[in-house]
Amino acid sequence: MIEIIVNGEVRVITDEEDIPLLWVLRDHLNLTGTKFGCGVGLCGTCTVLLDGEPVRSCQVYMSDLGDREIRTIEGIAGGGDLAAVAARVQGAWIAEQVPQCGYCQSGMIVAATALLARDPDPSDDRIDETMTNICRCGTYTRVRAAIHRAAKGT
Amino acid sequence: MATMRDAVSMSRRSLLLGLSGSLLVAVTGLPGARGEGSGETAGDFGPFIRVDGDGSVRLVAPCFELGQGSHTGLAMILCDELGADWDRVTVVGPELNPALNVPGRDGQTTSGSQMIRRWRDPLRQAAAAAREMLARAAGERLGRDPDGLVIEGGWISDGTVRLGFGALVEAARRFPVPDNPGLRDRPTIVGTSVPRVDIPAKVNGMAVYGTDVRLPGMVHAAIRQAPVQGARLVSVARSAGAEEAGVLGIVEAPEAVMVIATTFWRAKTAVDALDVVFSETEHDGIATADIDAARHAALDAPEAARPIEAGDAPARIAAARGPGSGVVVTADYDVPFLHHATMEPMTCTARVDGETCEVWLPTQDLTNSAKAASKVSGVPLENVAIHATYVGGGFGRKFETDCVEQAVRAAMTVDRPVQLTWTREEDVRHGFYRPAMSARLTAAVTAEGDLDGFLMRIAGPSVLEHTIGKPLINGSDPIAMLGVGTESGKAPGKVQQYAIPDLLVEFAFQPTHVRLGYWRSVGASENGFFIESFMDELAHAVGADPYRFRRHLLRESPRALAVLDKVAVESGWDSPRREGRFLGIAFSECVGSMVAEVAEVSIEEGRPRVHRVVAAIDCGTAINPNAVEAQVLGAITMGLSAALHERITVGDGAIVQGNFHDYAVARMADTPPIDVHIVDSGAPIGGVGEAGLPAVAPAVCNAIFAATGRRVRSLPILETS
Ligand code: FES
Ligand code: FES
Repeated sequence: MIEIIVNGEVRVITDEEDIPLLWVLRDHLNLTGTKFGCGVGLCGTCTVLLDGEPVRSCQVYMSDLGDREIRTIEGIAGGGDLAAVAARVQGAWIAEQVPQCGYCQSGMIVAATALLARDPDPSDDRIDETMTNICRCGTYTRVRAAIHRAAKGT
Repeated sequence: MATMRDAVSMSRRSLLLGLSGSLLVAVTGLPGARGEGSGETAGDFGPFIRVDGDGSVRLVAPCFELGQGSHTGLAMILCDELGADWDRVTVVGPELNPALNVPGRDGQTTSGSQMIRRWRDPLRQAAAAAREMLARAAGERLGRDPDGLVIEGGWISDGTVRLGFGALVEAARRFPVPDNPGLRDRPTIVGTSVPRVDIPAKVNGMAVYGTDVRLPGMVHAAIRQAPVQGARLVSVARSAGAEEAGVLGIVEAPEAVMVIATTFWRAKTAVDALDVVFSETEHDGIATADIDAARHAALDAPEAARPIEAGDAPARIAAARGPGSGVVVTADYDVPFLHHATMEPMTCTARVDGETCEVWLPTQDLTNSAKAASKVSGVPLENVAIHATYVGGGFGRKFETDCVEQAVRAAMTVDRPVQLTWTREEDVRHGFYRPAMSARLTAAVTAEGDLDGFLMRIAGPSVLEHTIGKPLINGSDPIAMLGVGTESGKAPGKVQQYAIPDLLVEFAFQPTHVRLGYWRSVGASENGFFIESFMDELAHAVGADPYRFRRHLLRESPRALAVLDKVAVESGWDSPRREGRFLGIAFSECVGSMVAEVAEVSIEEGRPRVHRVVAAIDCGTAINPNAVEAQVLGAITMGLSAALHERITVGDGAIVQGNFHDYAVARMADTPPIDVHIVDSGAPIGGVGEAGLPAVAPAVCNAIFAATGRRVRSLPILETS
């Protein structure tokens, strides 16, 4: 049995196995907003926050977690230090009509929130460097616009 | 038009509600699910439209939402024609219902950039009929002539009293459905950029994709498929000491083995640990070089099919080779196999009992998915139900039913719902690929810039042969001709929109064992590169400006000229270029829309870098300009990704690539700013989802030529690592 803190709540995982956090979120806790895209840390669809730091949850095993607090797309704007930034990011995402299929967007939004928390007004180069998530629908240009919009606070 | 679903379908619906009533909570966030109808007083007006007693209007979308925006566009069309209140219009995904077959097709498909084009008129008819019925009910109530009533924002008014749609539903449904309802011509939201209905659920994690379906008792399956197409499962053995925890069963399919377990991770770990033997095939020794060599030989073969022909191109070119005539240019081009790589891997959830089969699915082909489920499970089609989820990317891949068959097969072995999800490795290695193709183009150019003879031989396999087993038509595959002829220019004497009196397009069939499918813009994805690169070569051969050279040949097509001129102005084609920057231009008619694009490129340390793409699209009428722009941005990004990086290769008969490290797709840093300009011509409505793709590869390659004098005749431009 292991206790983890997800979106501000203590959750009990009754499984002994040391498995990637992604599958605990998706299959044990039914928090399906965090997506499986590649399973090897390459695509970013599984991005979540651990104590405010973006990580690829397919590469984080339960034994790596320690007592760090997990925030997923479902709870990113609902509490924690980054809630205000996340809410602004989500608002900007709607204003710029970013998602197409939307499958990559949870990861994009989590990554963008973490970026803006660290760098409130990132340049295009900084965005390109930091936002390495894959979007097959090709929303990158609107992701960039939405990050700038969120940075301006509108 | 029928006002009720047929009896069979009604009973199936009730049955399903009975079955799935307890599941509704688990599957909220399905496309547009924003509350159920309020039961008794709700009324169906044909298969698309339901008006609830509270006045809200629900569109049963005939298609899936893949991010292309069709749910929103169709709801906008419905809203305007009905006179509804946009804030009270909701959309749900399709259910299996032949009344929702795509007009002119025998199934419920979401493909071919067709949804708005094909559904606009039938939807307007249905909405107009519903409006007339509601107006008659209001007229009766108010003692007025229905024709004199004002219908707007969900209200019907005689100027003094107004009645809401909800209060009129019951009475309205008693009137016969008018055969020829009058259409209104008063767009209020059509033509505006209203926010898409599916986006809020896609920014807060609530949208339910195929992989997100969670049902009581549901278990997971992972799969390992035969590496070489056509190989069969010979034997499966559990390796000694393999982790057994949570494993519920091993399922053998003809071409694969699956493990069912309580979580996906357990299923995947267990399937990885199996010792599996697949049969050998006659293709086991084949590599990309063999496939390429066979295709190149087909370029030289004495005979080929002649699907498009006008005048006598061979004679004109022979004459032009003589003394004192025009310039003759010939060039060969190649494109590789490409994978869709939808971010949502292939997935399907199924539940089978003795009598019914339920499937939760992201798909582009609902009808064939239902048929596949019926065939594998033995459950009659009328007892098969498909529940639509959002689709996490399709691009043509989710037109195929392979994953449905597998999930149903797995579900038959346990009496609970099973969710099959492919790993990315399975997804990359078991695609239905855009075929590797070659082309040889030859043309004679006169001093005036006319083409006095044009020959094009396309060599490669047939997509139709792989997807539907359809034999070639007179030796040719119409899919391979997409983007050569056009929807608006079927008249002889045209390649694309270019006026060429003497032309011959050949198809030299060269089959491959590699599985093929429909990849965004299909044949146009390669033909756009072939033709537009060659047009650039012709322009340079006679010292002409590539923009004006095209302008001259497009002189009979005002729509083509308009987008070409637009993109030239917006890209600053005639303005002084920035130091070290070079422009390339390309045009393409695709899915009934006209598109021109300019790419701006520099060369940095010997490698091309794309700084900007400017596009102009004429899709006739833009129902939602913001959504049109989004699709053009997406298609250009995907086309650019393919042009720069993407290539599937074959070794020992199998696909070599397996994940995003060796199948590189564009990321943010590869994607330049893209400006999209919409030219509203008022022409018949064209498709949008695929339209922007074909022109970008040649625009970039033409810019590289402008920069370096070197012609890129083989894609991808940059080798993947
Ligand atoms: S699924 Fe974790 S990075 Fe792709
Ligand atoms: S929106 Fe579809 S993958 Fe990004």
